[in-house]
Amino acid sequence: MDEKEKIAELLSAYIDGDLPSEQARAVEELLQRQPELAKELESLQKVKQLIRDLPRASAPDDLAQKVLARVERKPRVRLVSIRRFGQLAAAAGIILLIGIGIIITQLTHKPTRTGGYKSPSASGEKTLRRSTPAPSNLLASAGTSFVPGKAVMSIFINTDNLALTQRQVESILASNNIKLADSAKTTVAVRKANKLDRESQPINIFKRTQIKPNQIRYEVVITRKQLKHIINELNAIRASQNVPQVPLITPKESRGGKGLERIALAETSQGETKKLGETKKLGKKRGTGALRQPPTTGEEKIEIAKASISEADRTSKEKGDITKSASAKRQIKVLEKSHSISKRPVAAATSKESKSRHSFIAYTNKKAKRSTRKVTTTQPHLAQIVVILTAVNTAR
Amino acid sequence: MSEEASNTVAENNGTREDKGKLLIDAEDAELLERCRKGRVEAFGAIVKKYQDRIFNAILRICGNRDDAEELTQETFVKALENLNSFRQASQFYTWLFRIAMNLTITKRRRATRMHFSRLDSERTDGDQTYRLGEIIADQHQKNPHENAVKADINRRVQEALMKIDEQFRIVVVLCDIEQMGYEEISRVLNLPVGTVKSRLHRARNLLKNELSDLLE
Repeated sequence: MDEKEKIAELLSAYIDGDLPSEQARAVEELLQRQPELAKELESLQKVKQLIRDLPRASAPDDLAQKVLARVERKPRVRLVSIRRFGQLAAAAGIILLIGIGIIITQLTHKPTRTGGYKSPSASGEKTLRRSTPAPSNLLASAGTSFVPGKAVMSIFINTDNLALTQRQVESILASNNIKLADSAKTTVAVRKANKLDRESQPINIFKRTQIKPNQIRYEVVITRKQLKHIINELNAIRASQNVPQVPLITPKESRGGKGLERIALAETSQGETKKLGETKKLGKKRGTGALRQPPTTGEEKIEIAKASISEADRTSKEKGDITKSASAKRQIKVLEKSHSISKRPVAAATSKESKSRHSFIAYTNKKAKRSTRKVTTTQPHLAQIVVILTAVNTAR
Repeated sequence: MSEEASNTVAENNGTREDKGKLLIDAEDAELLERCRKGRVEAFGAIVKKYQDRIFNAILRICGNRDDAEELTQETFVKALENLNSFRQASQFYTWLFRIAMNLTITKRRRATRMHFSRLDSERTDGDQTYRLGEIIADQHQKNPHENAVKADINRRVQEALMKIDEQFRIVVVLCDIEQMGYEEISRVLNLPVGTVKSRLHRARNLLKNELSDLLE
């Protein structure tokens, strides 16, 4: 900045009264010495005055009403210009990707919780998305599995005394201060205590479902601090059973399961591992895959499912190619029929309605709501455990 | 607008904000608190309190009443959406102005739906054809003939404002019309104070050249 420029800036600041007294005095002295500067100052003061004298426009009287109306009807539909189309298309693409991600997450999440699987169809492979658990003789051979990208763990416990094992599991949960979601009141109380909205899964509350006469399912969301302790105790129950248990498989590398990997679950015996490997190879070679998990649920599940067939097959034929086995094929068909594709009720169905009723509050509390929604099993400090107890020797 | 609110606006309009004054106005704080609790009428009061200042500043920057109204509405909607992010570390109207100026600049850059009309362009409204500059300059005058000279000067000034670059226009509007201090302008525009000073002096020089005949 040259000298002239500096002086001009000083003059501008001088007319705004923004100069410290010392500098202001210096400018005044300069103005006395240089009449051209005084003229310049006069011009700048006139410019400022002209701008100041502009009449003040008032906003339309109904502006406040219009603003409130806009708030009420948001999200609003706008006419889109062609130039903006590109930007909106990009945004739509991102939203689409997120949507696909959510769908994939749900697909990978649900079968794990229920022991679901994928089976081949005439045209290729058809996914049983929302399947009920497999029959006990097959499911009994399942173990622990992880869903990549989600901290969800399924533990299958075979028992010869369902009632006793049930008591043991519930005792473990109770000792870890995890309560039974016996009523809506409990759930509401827990949500309130944890400041969760109705869409969030409550922590430290377990849900018990009798999915079959010989099967009970427990679902619980816990912190990772609790996880190791609870897993160890559940493993102890598994080990104490007088019926064969499924080999537990060490989870593979996955984003969500990262913290879970530290828990050593590898009880798999050498022989069984070999067997699993063999059956996998056979399935792959024949191109059918027998019973297979959706790819997103991980290789572990594939192995579990194949092991299940292998077990069933061994009882009838001792050994052989499982993909050729008539009994295995029959089992697949029975399973496909027995698995209903029913949609789970959406818990947050009423959230939209409530939003429209209280749109203003929703506006002001938007950020607060967002933060509570983050409490899900995808949070790094939370994990979900699904325990399925199966009575092997009791009548269905 | 309530009498009390009008007085506050007049008070705010008439005085330059003290440097370093960071505490929020007590009335604003109360209204905002009620807003956060979901009281619609409190937000309505905020809109009424500041709508004229925001509208006038935007109008002087974009030169079009419709666009100014649209942007003023958007400013308040956006303010409500982000009310939780207002930490009360500055005056509420400083924060509002920041939103308003950001929206105006963004819209101007996109230049899609918004069309910042030239003041010398003509617009037909029913049977009447008139210049936009006249609409702005004469909007408060009940008898244009009495103040014809003054109206003409105002129109010329507004036209000159519209001719200079937007970055200079904004600082002039905030400083000379809104009577904000350099510090406050720097907070509104998120610019260093030095840049504000430099832009202001350049803006005035440009305006001086545009309005040279009026200055003699």
